[in-house]
Amino acid sequence: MIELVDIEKTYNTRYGVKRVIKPTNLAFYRGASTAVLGLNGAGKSTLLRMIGGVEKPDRGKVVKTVTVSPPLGITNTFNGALTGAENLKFVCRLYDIDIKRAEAFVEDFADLGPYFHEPVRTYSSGMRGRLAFGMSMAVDFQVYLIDEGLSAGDARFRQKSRDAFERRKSRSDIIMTSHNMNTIRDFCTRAVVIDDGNVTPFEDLDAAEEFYMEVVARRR
Amino acid sequence: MSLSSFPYGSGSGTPRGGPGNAGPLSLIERLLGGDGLFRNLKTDFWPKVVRSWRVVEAMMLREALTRYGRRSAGFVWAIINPMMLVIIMMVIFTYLGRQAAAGEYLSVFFITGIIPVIAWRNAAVQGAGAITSNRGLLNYPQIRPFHIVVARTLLELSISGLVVLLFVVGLWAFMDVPLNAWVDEPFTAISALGCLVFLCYGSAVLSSQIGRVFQLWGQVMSRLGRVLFFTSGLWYTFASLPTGPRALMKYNPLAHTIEWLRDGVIPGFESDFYNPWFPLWIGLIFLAIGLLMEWLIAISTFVDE
Repeated sequence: MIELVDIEKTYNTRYGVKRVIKPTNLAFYRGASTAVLGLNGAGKSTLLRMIGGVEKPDRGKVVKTVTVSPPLGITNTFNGALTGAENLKFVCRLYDIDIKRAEAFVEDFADLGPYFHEPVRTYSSGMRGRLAFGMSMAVDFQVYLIDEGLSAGDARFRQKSRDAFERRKSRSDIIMTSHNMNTIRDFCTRAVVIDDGNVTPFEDLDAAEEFYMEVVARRR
Repeated sequence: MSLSSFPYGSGSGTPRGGPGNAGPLSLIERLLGGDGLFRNLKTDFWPKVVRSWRVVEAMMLREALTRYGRRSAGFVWAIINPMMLVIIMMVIFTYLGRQAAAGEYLSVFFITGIIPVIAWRNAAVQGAGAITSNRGLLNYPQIRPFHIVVARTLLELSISGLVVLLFVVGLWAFMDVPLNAWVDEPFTAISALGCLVFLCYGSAVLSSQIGRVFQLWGQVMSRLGRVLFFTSGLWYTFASLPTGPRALMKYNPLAHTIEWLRDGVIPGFESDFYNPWFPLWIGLIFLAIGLLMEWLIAISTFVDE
């Protein structure tokens, strides 16, 4: 269970204070994967970063009783000069997992072919996304935070990721952001919608989508 | 919770050092008590140290690979580069007819001066870009600026150490410089080296924080390093200077460290001019300012570019 207790987050900008997340209480319980919906800049990534422990909320706290992946998918954690395999080795050392097995897993999962041993700067964005996703899947987390990570992959890769998650559904959940409703329906059963700093949880994806469409329409 | 259907199990994804996690331990982890050497110390202090070390270790390997490339030529170049600098300057000074200002061997005198300057400069210059060029890695909660700076400083210091070792062996084998020309008072020499390491680390921490808010800091730092080549006493000691420049040199912490090191290293050389507390204090002040900046940046809404 991940609990957000009275968290609040603001950013200072040149044009005043922006309240990204207004005071919020929220729980992510085991056995349900959650989609985070919102317009660009609504605070989806900020929410994921606070859950991942990368950023601290201004007030309140994040209580975690599960292991949570770093909010990957944003692929700037790669060093472009290093190959995919070398970037993976670094993560293996960080989490102390077996390098050989992880390499075999990611090589198969991300399907990079010979590019697995080429510098990451030569990758297409789809390949980077697949590598990032494969790399976080190589470590056994209880909750995976995926920030737009799946939108880069093609249909084949999405199917592959879905199968992989299906297999570890009993242990692992996802909290993901995406603008693609199909991707969300593939992976999630509930959603939270962030609009103007208000975080609203929905147990039903249809209701969440309806509300989100309202938000989109209102902002148009 | 079954792990059987998993591609491979690594426990719960927590780094090793947590409870109930068996596995082969590296030597350093054994030394740090990962194997229960200090098990009666019922705290999680050692697991934390072990975990931090694991991050630093991974960072060092990554940094080395990025900087020197996959081919060994890159690493060889990293060692040859400072060696060539030392050799060229030594040849120049030999032709100028310079004598060592202390001790019997110009090479020993010169290397004890130039290597600390190179080590310090590299630590500070590498520190300047440490956080900016690795900001993506801060997405991993277990990697903090501390680990990046420690890894870069350790990498620089180990390369400098390797260079010194090569010189000691090379000069002994080919130039008949005996090994005991490198040691006079071991305790003094080791304290001076410790002070140098601390000064390098403090400077790297400060440099890394300034480098975060001031993009051109790395370039400023390498210019500053050049100035230190002329003011840190590479080819002179405090005693060999006239009073005017000597008073100025007293404000250079590196000059104090070098004089201290030479006091411990060069047989027959004693110096009363250096103050061991001065470089230690400067190192501590740099470290404190660096940590204060880190804290201020953390509580502000500053975003790394």
